[in-house]
Amino acid sequence: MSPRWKRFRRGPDHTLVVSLAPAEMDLLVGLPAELRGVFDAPAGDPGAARLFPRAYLDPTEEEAEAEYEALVQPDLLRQRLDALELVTASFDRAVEAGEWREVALTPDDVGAWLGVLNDTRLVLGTRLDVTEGELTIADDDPNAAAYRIYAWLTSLQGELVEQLLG
Amino acid sequence: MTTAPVEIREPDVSEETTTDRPWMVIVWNDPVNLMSYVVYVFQKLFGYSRKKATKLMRQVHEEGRAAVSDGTREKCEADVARLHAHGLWATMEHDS
Repeated sequence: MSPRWKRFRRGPDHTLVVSLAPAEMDLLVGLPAELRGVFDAPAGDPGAARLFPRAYLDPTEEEAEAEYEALVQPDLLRQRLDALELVTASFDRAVEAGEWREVALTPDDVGAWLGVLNDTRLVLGTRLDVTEGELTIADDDPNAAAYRIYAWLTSLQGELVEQLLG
Repeated sequence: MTTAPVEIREPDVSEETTTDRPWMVIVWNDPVNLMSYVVYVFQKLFGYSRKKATKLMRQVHEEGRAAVSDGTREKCEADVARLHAHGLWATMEHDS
């Protein structure tokens, strides 16, 4: 049984095949629902705010800012919801390959996965108030589980980007 | 009595008036986005070479911000929207 230390590999017909352990797949399967919860969050939620930031910092541009938000943010939300649907649909196609779960991702799927991974990390990272550099997580840290998920998602996204950069 | 001659000036009907200063798009550093991901996004959205995208990413990382594109207000808003869609923290400001 070949070890899957590279989670992504090129498949036929421009697909990218992702190989995950069942527990890893279970974790990812839960992400779309979490992000939907963030999109429905009340105004002022810092995680949601990070996903829909301002375009203008200049206080004299408030009118332009309001127009930007009214025009762009519904589209941003729509794109993100579409990505969630693609990702959920891709999980439904997962096949067992020995002890692994594998999914063949089309280029559109890959874009959606990249967006969902990054958005989840943005929300989680904002909530955990992560800083740059290495995370050291004490076992008794109440956020230990969340930090570990964040670290794992970071490594998964990193591998995906490496594949895309070529 | 005479009046001083008055120059008649044609109204400026072009889109760019003297008050239309150029805009630039700034990407800000943040602790979540991967450096490799930022490079990928710059290449994808702006068609920059790996070298240029990496240089801009380094500038964001080391200086806290970098100007990644410029142009009219409309063009810059479109660039900001695409960067926001990729989760980058981007804003726009006047060039000078």
